[in-house]
Amino acid sequence: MPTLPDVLAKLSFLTTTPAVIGLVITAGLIVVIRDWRFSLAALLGQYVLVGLLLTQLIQPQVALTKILIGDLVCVVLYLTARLVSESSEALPLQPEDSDFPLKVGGDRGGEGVDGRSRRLAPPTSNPSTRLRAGLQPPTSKTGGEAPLADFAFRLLAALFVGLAVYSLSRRYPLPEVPSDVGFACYWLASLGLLVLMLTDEPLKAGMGLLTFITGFELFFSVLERSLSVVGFLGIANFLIALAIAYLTGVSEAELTAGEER
Amino acid sequence: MITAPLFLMVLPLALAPVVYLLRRWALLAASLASATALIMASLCLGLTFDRPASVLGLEVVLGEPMMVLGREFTLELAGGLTVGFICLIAAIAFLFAWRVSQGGLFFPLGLIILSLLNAAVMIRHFLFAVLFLWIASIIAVFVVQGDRQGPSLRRVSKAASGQATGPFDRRRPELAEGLSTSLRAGPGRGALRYLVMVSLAVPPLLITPWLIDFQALNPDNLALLRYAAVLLAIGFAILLAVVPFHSWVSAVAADAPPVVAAFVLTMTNAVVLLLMLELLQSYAWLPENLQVFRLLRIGGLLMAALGGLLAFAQRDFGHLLGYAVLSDMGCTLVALGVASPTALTAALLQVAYRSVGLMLTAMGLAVVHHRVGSDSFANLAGVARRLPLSTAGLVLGGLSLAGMPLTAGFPSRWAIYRLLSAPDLALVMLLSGAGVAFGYLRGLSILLAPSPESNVKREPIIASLMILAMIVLCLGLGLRPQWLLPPIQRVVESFGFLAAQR
Repeated sequence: MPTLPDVLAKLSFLTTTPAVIGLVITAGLIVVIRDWRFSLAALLGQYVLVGLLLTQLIQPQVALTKILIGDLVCVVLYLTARLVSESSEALPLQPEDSDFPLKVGGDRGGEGVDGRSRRLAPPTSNPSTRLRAGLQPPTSKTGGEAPLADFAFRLLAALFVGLAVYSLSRRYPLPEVPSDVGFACYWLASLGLLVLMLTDEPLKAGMGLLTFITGFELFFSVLERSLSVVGFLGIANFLIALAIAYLTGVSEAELTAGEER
Repeated sequence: MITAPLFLMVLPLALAPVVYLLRRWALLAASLASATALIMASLCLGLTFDRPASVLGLEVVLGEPMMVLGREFTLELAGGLTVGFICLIAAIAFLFAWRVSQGGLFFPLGLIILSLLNAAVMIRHFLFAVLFLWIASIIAVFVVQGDRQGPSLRRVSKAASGQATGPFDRRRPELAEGLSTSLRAGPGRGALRYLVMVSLAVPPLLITPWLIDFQALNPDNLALLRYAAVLLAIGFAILLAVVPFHSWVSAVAADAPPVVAAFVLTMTNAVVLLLMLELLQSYAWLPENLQVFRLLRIGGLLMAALGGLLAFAQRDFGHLLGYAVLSDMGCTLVALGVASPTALTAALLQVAYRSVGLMLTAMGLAVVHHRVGSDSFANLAGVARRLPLSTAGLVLGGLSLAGMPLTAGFPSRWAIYRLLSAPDLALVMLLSGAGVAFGYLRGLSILLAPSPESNVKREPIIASLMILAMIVLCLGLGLRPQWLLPPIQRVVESFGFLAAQR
């Protein structure tokens, strides 16, 4: 059975630059893709890559603990999103386009894992319910344009933030960490903030918040190596995941109640 | 014999599961939670540092420090009074929640929050204090969200769908507006915003101790201290809801059950202020930098101005409560920015008196919300006739937050106005209070307005008695404000950094 140092030695090709590139991709996916399955997979990948980066900077056992906490967080979010998604899918589907598409997956306005929009019927005519669902007013009568515009907007926003992060990391390099790790910290924190700005749906916003905190932890773990701090941060991460799960569940329950009305 | 830190952290934590199991029996759960908080409050407010106090058959030593994993927990004068204060507020909130439910999780999670906040006050390391505060705030998200599928929301939902539900039967046209107002915050938006803002405030505060320690090793690098000051300013600005980080206060006030909102806003604000004062006391370079106090004054002024202005325009009591608190918190920051022992006394008095006004208006609002199912002005016409004491509490508490004469909020506000050297500043604060007062008086005029026959049930007797007691307290403190002065003056004396300022 391979020991931890063996595993880390085998994964050493993934540390530093490849891991930073991986983090750029995973955080970018969380911003750009609205489907919760892809976003959650990206978040999981992010925790693993951050853990691998940390093995070069702090004790490998501590880095491994952070990966495990990240896995737990993703499990909590996955179970919640799955339950919410199933309860949405239980409602009848309406094949044709409607003014207010409530798509399964994503932040109640995303696309299904198969890439097709799945709309819940009946489309609500109650403005309050629409407001609560976080749905935007209709912008396009032609089904595919709005998601494409949304995708393009998110991509553009991520690119602009990327430029800002690049200049920020060169101008104000973070102390105690290599420059590429510093860039990864800035990137994760900035894209986490961007997600928070772009959505008010608990699950997606929660992923943004966790991305922001992951970026901070990547830097802070090097500064503060106390095990008790690691423990506190782990507890905080897990509690945030539980809070997000709770808010997502309550939000879904209210939306369902709104649909029933 | 046990130390006070152990007692104050472990007792609420140990009783939280018991209270959770008893949550279906509201009387038992409320009594146990309230008694726990009351015991801790009496222990801390007794402040017998020199000799052990006997509590539940145990000898508790207040002044004795405790070590856990190499970290020191100790209860000093300012911390002791803060813990006593937040425990007292918690006891009142728990007792009131017995008659007017604030969500099934309020009692157990409230005790856990209390335990964590006590830990944040008592630990002698800023980094861990911030971590305790963060975890307490994350747990608070669950109580802020509350029982959103509870009776009142269900009643509103049914009313909107056209099913007969008590007071709404004859008011369907008004309900649409009321419902949309009550849902303006969206499902869980207040809780989510609170979670996000507190979590954004934590990283800058956690990095600061490292920067300060690093600067101690490199005394020539003064830029590190500048970075530390900027990070502290950002972190505390978010936690204290300084403009432009203020939106979570009104969102929490509008979205959370009213007493929970008062519980969270009072307790976290008191602990954050204490942490800030202890930081100013610990690091001499911070109070020496006059920009710190200037920032406090500007931030407070912005909060007061915006709070007053927005309170003036609100159409529901939830948001009005949030902006009233914002305005009042702004006044406190302005007083801290004056940087004198007298101003600090006025600021701490205001924190204490704000809690009375805030809890009173929250209690009144909770009963109104419970009986009517909405806090929108559009749905409350004539409610004062059925709920007179709740209406009185709601409006009097609001006027106290506005700093109106004869209420608890007036003496400290008046002292702050007099301490301000620039008359323009005092005028802005005065107008801010007037904006809040106008908002509540507008609400009162609707509550008193003639209305068709109402099906609103009478207010619950025990809750009404509690509101009455709080009204008496609010008016009593307005007439005899010096009652709380001696302990607060002792706390102010313990903060020597202001003497150095002089």
